Amino acid sequence: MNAQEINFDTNLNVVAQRESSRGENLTKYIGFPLGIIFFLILYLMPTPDGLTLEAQAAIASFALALTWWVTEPIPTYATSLLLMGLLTFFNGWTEDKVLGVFGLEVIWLNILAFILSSTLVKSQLAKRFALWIGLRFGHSSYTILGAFIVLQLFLAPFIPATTARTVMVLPVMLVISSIYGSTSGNGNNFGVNLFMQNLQGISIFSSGFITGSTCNIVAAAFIFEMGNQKVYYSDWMFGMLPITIIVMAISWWLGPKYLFPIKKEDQQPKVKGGFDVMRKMLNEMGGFTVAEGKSAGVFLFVLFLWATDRFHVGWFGFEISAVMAALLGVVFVFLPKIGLLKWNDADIPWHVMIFSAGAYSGGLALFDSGAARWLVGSVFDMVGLGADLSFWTVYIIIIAFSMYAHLFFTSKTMRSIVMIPIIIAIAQQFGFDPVSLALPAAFTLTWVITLPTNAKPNLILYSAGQFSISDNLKYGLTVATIGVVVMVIAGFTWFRFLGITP
Amino acid sequence: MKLLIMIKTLFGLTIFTSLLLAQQIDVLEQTVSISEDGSAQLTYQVILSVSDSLSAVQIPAGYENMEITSVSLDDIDITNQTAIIIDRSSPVFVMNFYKKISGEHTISINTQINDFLNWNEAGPEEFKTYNWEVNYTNTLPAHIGRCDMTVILPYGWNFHRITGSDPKFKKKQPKPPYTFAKVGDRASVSISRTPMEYMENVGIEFAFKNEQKPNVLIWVGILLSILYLYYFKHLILRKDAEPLIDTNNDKESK
Repeated sequence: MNAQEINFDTNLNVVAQRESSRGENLTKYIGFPLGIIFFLILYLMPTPDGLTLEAQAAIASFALALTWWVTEPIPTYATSLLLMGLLTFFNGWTEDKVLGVFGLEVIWLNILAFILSSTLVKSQLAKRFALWIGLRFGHSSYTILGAFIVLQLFLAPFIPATTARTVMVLPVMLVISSIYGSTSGNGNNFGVNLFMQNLQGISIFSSGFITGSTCNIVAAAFIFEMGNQKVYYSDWMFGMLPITIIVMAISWWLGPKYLFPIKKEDQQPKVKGGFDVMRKMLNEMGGFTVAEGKSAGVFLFVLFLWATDRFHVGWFGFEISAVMAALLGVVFVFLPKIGLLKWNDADIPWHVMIFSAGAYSGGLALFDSGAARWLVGSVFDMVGLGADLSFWTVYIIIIAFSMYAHLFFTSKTMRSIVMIPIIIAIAQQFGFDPVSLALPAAFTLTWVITLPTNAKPNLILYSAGQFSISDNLKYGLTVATIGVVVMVIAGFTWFRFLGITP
Repeated sequence: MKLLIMIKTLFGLTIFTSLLLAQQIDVLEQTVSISEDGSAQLTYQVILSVSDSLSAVQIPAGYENMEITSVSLDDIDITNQTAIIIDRSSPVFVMNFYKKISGEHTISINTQINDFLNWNEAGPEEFKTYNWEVNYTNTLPAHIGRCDMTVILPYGWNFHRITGSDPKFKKKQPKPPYTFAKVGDRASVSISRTPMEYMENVGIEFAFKNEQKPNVLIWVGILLSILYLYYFKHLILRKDAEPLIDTNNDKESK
């Protein structure tokens, strides 16, 4: 066993360096001209009917960036910067809007969340929890991976903010992956599985509860307004929660066994001295320190504000948004004497922030220019949903489309706003119950699991350098496809039993 | 004297209002086809219901400086019976009939405005875009059942961005109130208001630009690709001295 010291420092601000495989090098080599070809074709082709020139430029720029993010001929953050430039040069979005993305709530929330996460590391609370969970469940890689999935399932109904869930578990995951010999830039398949399964758990379990994400609430509102049927919390939970558990169980089994097999020696902790040393380390930490107490207090305070946002207006007369709640916590941790961090202790991966800003500017440009709406409409037209099709054909097409649509449309809420009314209209046009198509499609909205650019938690986890974009694509597409299969089977069985499908 | 003027005005208004109440515009489709020389052909297709027998009908025109090319009532030419007048500071088409009409009728009006688009006023702005807006207001105190407006750009030009519309496009709406289409080879945008009340507006504000895109981009793309493929050829050249890793799954074999 290749034993090593546990790394309790996160070092997220350092870009992970990792040797590329021959296949990855070939992909990089081909990816560069491929991205340019996609851009030129899409930008120079005659503007399709129903599309503006701005939308065409946004689609072409995004296609180039997406190709380069996946193939990585240049670093992902450089591609993001280039995307922001392309959008501006080719007038796919205005310069002030492109540059303004860095001031969006999503970027601020990421920055503040990373600072809060740093307090868990600095105060050693993350180390304590990681050692405890490692000793309790770490005797095999499967149990520790399973423990994290159960943890995500437990957190999902209580903390709707996916970023919050990610930030809470990230420091612990980093230490656990270090215990199993997977570090940033020198990872192994345990790290890939741990990070990918948590990424999936965070997104997929959000679909188990109507309050799991704003996009679920928006979808339910559309079903009520346009389809005239109310979707209750229990309808949603009974319908989707069992599906999420089944899919995550399959992912837990499939990943380490077939997709990213964990070598036998990596299935046990790789710490010098093994569990005895870990136990000794935990004992040496003694009781809870004041710093740990403060760190936990700040975190619980922020979590409390995040979890009780709907009551704020009644309590305070105003609502404290997720960003402002995190901001209050960060103000406390930076206070002299009573605080926990100095600026240099804050571990913020700025390269990921740049990457995020580019990804969001691309996604928002697609939406703002009408390109996203046009693409959705075109795909539905292309697959022939205007023809006389049976319910199950339409169901399968819609489930598959709504599952994979996150590859191109980054915002879940925007996808909900664009897609759900179209699906309800299709259902009404064919004479089907709107719920039978719109609700299963809405169940898949939060499954943003294929690329780091798909969602905030993905970007945060990607910053740890434990998996590549191609790892994410491979695992994510596999699980998304399993999701489609399970959703289709559920359509014939479970959803029918519940009265969702006919 | 003052009293006489007041009585006359009231009498005039009463007649005008009764005339409007007797006519009902069910559908009004306006098409604004802009030419590259700045002129525009405006057509109005109107479906009108007349409850009482009327010897004249009125339709909001939207513009004063237009020349009437042709007007027909149910395919009968009435160009000579049509004029544009200013009614309460708004231009209005007035059609007088030799024989009173009643029931449902279709009126087709073709007009021309020579200086519709002022290119100097419109741009060019950043990225050689031009900005313009087209509006149509219901200036008659009676509602229009449905009002559609279609703006067709000159050949070779396309909409770059819609900067405003009436009805407005609200952020949470699934679809914008306007739709794009091609009329022949020309780009067009349509917007509608149902119903359209007195003084309500239908309008579209847009940036547009020439569809022509620089072919130099192809050469820049080819050049950049060649440079990358040359300078990064080591990515695909086999180096025997260094062990090569075939897949991601072999990362731990190092």
